[in-house]
Amino acid sequence: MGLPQIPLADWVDTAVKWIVTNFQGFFSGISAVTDGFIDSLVKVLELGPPLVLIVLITLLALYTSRWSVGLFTLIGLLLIENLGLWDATVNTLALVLSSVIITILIGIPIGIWASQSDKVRQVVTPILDFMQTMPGFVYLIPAILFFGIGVVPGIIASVIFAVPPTIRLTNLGIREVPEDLIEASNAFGSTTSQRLFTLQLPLAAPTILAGVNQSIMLALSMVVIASLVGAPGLGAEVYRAVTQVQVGEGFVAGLAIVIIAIILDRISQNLRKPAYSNLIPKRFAYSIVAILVIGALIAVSVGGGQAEKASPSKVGEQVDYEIIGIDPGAGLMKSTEKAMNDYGLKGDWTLVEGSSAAMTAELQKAYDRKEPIIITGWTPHWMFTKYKLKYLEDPKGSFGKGESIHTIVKKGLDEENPGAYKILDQFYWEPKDMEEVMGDIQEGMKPEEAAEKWVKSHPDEVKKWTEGTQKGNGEKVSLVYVSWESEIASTNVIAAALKNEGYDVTLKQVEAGPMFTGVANGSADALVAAWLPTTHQDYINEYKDQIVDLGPNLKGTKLGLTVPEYMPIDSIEDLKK
Amino acid sequence: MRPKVEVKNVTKVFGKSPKNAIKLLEEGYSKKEILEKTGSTIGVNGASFEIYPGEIFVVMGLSGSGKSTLIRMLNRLIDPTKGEILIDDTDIVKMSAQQLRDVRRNKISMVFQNFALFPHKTVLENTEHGLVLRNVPANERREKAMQSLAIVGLKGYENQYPSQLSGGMQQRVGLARALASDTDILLMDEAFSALDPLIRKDMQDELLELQETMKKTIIFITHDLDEALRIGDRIALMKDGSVIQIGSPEEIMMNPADKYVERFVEDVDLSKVLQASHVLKRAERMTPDRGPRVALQIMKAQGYSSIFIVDRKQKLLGALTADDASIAVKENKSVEEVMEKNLVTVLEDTLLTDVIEALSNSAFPVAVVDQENRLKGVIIRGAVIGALAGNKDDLNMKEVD
Repeated sequence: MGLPQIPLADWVDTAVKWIVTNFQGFFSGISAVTDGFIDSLVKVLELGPPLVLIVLITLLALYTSRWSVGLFTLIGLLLIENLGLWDATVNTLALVLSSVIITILIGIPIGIWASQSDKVRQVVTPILDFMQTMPGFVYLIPAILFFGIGVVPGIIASVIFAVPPTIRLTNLGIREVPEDLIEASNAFGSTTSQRLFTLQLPLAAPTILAGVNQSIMLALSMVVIASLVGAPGLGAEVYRAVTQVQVGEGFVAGLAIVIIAIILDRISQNLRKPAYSNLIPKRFAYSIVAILVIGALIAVSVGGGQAEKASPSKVGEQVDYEIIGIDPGAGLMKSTEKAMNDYGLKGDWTLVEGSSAAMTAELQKAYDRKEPIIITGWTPHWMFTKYKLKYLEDPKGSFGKGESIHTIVKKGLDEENPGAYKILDQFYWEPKDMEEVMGDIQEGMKPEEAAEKWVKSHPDEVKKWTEGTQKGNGEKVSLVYVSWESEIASTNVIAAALKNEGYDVTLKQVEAGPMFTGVANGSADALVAAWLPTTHQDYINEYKDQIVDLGPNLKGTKLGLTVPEYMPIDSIEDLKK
Repeated sequence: MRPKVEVKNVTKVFGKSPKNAIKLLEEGYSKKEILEKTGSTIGVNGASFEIYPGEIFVVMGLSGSGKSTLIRMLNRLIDPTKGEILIDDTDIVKMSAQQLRDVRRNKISMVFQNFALFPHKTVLENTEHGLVLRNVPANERREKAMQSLAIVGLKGYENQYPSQLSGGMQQRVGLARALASDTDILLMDEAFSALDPLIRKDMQDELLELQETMKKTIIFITHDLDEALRIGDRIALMKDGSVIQIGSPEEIMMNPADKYVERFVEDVDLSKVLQASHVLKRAERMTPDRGPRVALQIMKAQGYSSIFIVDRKQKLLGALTADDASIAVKENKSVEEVMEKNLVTVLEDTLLTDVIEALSNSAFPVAVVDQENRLKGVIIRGAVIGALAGNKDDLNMKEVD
């Protein structure tokens, strides 16, 4: 009761900040190596036409796990190809394979070490418990800070998430080798390494492989989550489908993941005892696979060495030709794609998909070290109060004019709950108001507290909203919002105002698509977070018959490519140089 | 002769505070009191003995007596808490890991109770395992492994996996593996306990046969007195971690050091342990040329109803009853003409079980002869029954001439 709150979160923040500033070189090194590796892997997988890879994977599945699995593999991969998800699948495969390779490289040695020493095991076991129960999402946060956004944090998060089974089962398998065999080996004078390689590892192999198989499955389950920080592939397709409530697309991408999962599971389960090893000896078959992979790698490194982009633009080189974006479903991203087309940036530049949190983390990192960075920005946003940023000029008007944020309610709310309806209708405030609340939240205040504070200190404005309405009597009002800082602020403020009027308000944080769907199908009453006419226009078009647009609650937003003020460019045109 | 292995006052304490336990041991506390006080278990308590080259030294005791711990200290699979273990006059307790590895590779090999064969290796690979660890070149170790497989009679099984073999065969592989290392010392930890009784007997016989040619120093652990008596040159009996008696099988049988050994010995089927030589009596004998009258006279004087007839070299010719002798006197025949020539004889080391059978088929006392058919003595029913009942008066304490 009397104990003050332990500032655990602050401690973690401080620790992470310290790590980021002091180990930057180390992380960049890891980042570069991993990036290079996955790049070559993707190149290897994309080397020939898709059919070549499909046939090779089919042959491997066939050889290891019977003809029926081979047939399934062939049909499944051809289906993926046919559905236009081949590139995404290759990216996902590369992500999973590199995660698994790193997992094996890290996990098996640690597992061996833990099996040889009880002390190590005692230290490692609780860490593994922690790693396995911590939600996968959590790993993304430090991963962004350490490795930026893109495929590398996705791999790192997958590795952290997927490595425990490999470590555990390696340790278990080695420890399960019967004591009398260990004794026999010792009795004949084996060294520790002789014992390990002649006895323990061969006998533990099935258990270790079971662990690796588990790790592959976990890495695969992480691909969707990793897409939040910009890992490309099937996960990003699923994520996009979720944010836009595209049932069909989501199902197709999910199905592709299932097919890949089954194929990887069967192949990895049967690697040790291939179904047709009596026809073709194991060594021979795997040698062919190894030769193919190594040959392809060599071909890629020889042929791909000169594939450097020859654009002289200094800015482009400094930022790796990357524009750091937000969630793939956002209208801002569509606008940015359009802008890249308009300004002829399409070939060289990539728009990195991620999430708004990942983007701001990336910005924070670059800003702290005064490095160049280009992001997709919008106002109102607290980042403009926290950092000195500027919008790049948009002479072609690709990003359109500024947007307004609208209040949308479900059909029939005016009859069902006229008081709340009217308050929502009259809700209107200014960007500076919103930024005030956002700033407080950013400083560490809880959103509801910040909202309460703002409502208390601006009684006149709140009065305008509640003018001419009856006090509520515990009527329920449910609001939905997306987890952008601006919308967290506005939704909490209107919720605070409604609560003060005697309404029972619940808030649900969802993705953009579900937010509109919820209001449209009546499972939520209202939202105050619709960015129009650009960002969320698609949803309005889709649901226009089931929702009521009460007009803007805030005007004067702006979208565009944003850079820190220390960067020597002013216009999007400068990126083309 | 220098001993091959010398164990000097070796103690092993399991648990957290061995130093404490050692102190209490020296103060004379019992194993149980130490366990209560410190939570440490005394595995082996002050064992001392010597093992000579070429002998089969059996360590026996009930489970929990510390014999397995003791044998594992001889190649330091378990490190002694205290004491010295000299192999060829070098103390292995003080050795570094590297020196110890050399000893294990070159001087001492081991056969395990549950065979401890590597399931992922073939019989041949198992057999050459010790040589692989020594980095012996492939063809040389193949050859050696094949030789030892031939010795244990497993030629032709070299490409099988242990799981494809019977228990007895698996243990032969275990033995071959130990033999392939070509070490002077062979540790056998209850090597035959996991086999069924018949195969066990065969393996014991084979081991003895092998030992004739190998002349290795074998340290054999068993909880089975029959086994110990069958194969041991000398036996050390263990109880509660201490060695309580060391001696030849006979000594152990005849003079149990204490009640514990006596109880141990009691459980043994004596008829399978005692031999003819243990119960034979002096035999009344004469050469045939003395004639039937002399024979009758001797029998009358001694109160016997029969007498054995031998030649000058003490070789058994036959036996003469009082009735036969009377007939010979009446009909004026020679001793050879009337004596019984088809006698049941047994050798000195025949077990009593077989002697009993011989007795039931014979009208005469059973004659005990040596390999050259020289008469050593006789066995009468009463003595056998007395001996089997544990009556020491019926046992001979010394060799019969």
